Amino acid sequence: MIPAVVGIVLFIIQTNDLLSNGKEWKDAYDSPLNTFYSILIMLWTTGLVESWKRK
Amino acid sequence: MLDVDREIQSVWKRVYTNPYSRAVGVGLPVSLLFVMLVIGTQIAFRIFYLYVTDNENAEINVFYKNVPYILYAISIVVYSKIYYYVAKILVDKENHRTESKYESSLIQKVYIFNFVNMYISNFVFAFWAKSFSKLAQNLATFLVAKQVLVNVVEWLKLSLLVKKKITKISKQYDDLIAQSTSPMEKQMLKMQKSIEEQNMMMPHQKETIMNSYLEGIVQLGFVCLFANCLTVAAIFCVITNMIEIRIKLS
Repeated sequence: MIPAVVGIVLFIIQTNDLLSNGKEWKDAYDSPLNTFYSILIMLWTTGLVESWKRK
Repeated sequence: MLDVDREIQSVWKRVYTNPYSRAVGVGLPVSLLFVMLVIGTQIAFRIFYLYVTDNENAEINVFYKNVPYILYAISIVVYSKIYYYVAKILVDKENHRTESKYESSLIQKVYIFNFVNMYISNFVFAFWAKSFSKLAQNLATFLVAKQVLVNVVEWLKLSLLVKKKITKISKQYDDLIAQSTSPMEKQMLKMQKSIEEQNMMMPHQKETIMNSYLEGIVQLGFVCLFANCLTVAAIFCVITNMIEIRIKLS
């Protein structure tokens, strides 16, 4: 659920950039925030796989 | 001379019946053939997509723009189903000594094939076309189309095959119960009805858990490899899983 919730928030921010701030599609959805989302996904995946191993 | 012949014959027999040599000699070429088929289909869809997008008629372009993606999602599901049955036949013929070795071999084959089958189009868009927008579009179409297709098939299987049979049996027994006069007989018929209804339910398959885990791992791969391009991919997975659970529970 963590990537889903953070992903929705990020998607809303990106869509807001696209619609309100007049950014182009590529700039809006390929933003610097994606870097932080990638790091979150990386940490979440590692945690998930490790907890799976323990089970 | 005769002893040497016997020795060679026995070595050949050992090699022939060895699960590893069967897996490498038969399983690997057949699996590679299927992987090549998937890659060939991917190339065919790319050519079809380029043909559609090069079309000068704008209206046709808009209408058919998503057709290659949807066709590709259908082909992925079809290939997965076909290869699963082929892999089962191959593993059956590998002559494994234990159940765990049989399952390991099946999981290895099916997962490696699914890795290529599911992710190849995304890797093409990410590293060959280098297009974030196309990758996001492909991911969205795939996640939605594939999950809708799988859930519809599951629901149809459940409602058309299983529920229909259960209703038929239930009706037959209800008529018999209504006709019978003895309370003892009624009790027996009710018990028989319950047993028959359970008998008509979907059989428990040995690989159900394996398939569920495989689906989960494929979705995890989508999220951790490509969710950066489409940040709503994770919520798509959550929603489709919840729908699937509802369908299976019903």
